[in-house]
Amino acid sequence: MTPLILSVDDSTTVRSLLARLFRPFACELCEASNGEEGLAVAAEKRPDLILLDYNMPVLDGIAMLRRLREDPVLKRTPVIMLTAESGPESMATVARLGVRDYVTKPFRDEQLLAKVGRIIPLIPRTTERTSDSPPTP
Amino acid sequence: MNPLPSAEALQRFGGNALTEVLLAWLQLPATELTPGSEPATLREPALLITVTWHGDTLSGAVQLVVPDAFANHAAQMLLGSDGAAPTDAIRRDLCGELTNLVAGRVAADLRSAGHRGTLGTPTVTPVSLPFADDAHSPGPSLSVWCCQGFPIGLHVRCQPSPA
Repeated sequence: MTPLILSVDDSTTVRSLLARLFRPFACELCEASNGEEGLAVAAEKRPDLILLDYNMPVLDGIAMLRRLREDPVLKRTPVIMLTAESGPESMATVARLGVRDYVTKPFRDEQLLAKVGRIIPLIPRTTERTSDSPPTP
Repeated sequence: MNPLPSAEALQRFGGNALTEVLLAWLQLPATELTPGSEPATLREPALLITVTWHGDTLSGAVQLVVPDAFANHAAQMLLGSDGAAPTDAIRRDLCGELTNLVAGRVAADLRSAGHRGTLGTPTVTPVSLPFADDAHSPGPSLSVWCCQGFPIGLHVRCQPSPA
C-alpha cells in the first residue's frame, strides 16, 4: 500500500517544497496549514508519517503533538518535527513528546529524505512495481 | 538575570542568521552594506516582515525588509514558476518563512545567552520606501544587506519583558 505523509506547515512555500521533494517517490502527500487542521486531516486519513512544523498559528506543532499523543487511534503515528529553532532545548522538548526525529529548517533534501526513509519505504516511482507487472526476463 | 544583549550583539545575531539562511535555503551569499555604498538604498515596492519573540526576561522582534524583486527571484529559484511572476500571496508567504527561519536562529542565540522565549508567526506588510514618516519603520538601527544585487533590510530589537 502506498504510504501517506501528512505535511502540517503554515507556509505554502514549505508545503510546495515538500510536495516537490516527494513527487518522485511512490507515496501520497496530504496537507494542513496548522495544528488544528492537522489533527482533523490525521483523524480522517490516518497518515503513516506526519511532517510537523514547530511554529504555527491557531495550534502550534507542540500542542498538536500533545493532542496527537492523547488520541488512542493516532498516538503511535510517527512524527518528524520541522523547526526553525535549532537550540538544544527545543530539541529536548520535542524529544520528550516522542517525535521520531527532527529537522532544522531550511532542511537539505537528502537529509529529510534519509530521515523519512527510515520510517516509511521511499520507492522511486520509475521502479514502482505492481502485482500485474510482467516478470523481469 | 542575564544582561540585556547590546544592539550590536543583536544585529550580529541577526546578520549571522540572515547570511546562514540565505546560503542554506537559496544558496545565495549576502554581505552587509555600509552606508553610502551601492545599492544601499532600499527601494519600493517591498514587504516588511515581523516575527515577534516573547520570553520571561526579554521580548522583541526580528524584522526584514525585502524588495518584491528579490522575493520574485527567490520564488523562481525555489519553486520554479515556469516564467510566470509569483503572486503576491507566494511573495508574502516566502518572505514570511524567510523571516521565520532568521528569527529561529536569533532565538537560538538568545537562548544560548540565557534568554528563553517563543516565536510568533510572521506578519507581512507592504511598505513604502524610504521609511520617511512611515509608522511601520523599523528605525535607524536597520542594517542593509546585499544579496544578488538586491538590498535586504534587517532589524533585531529587544527590550525587557513587562514584569
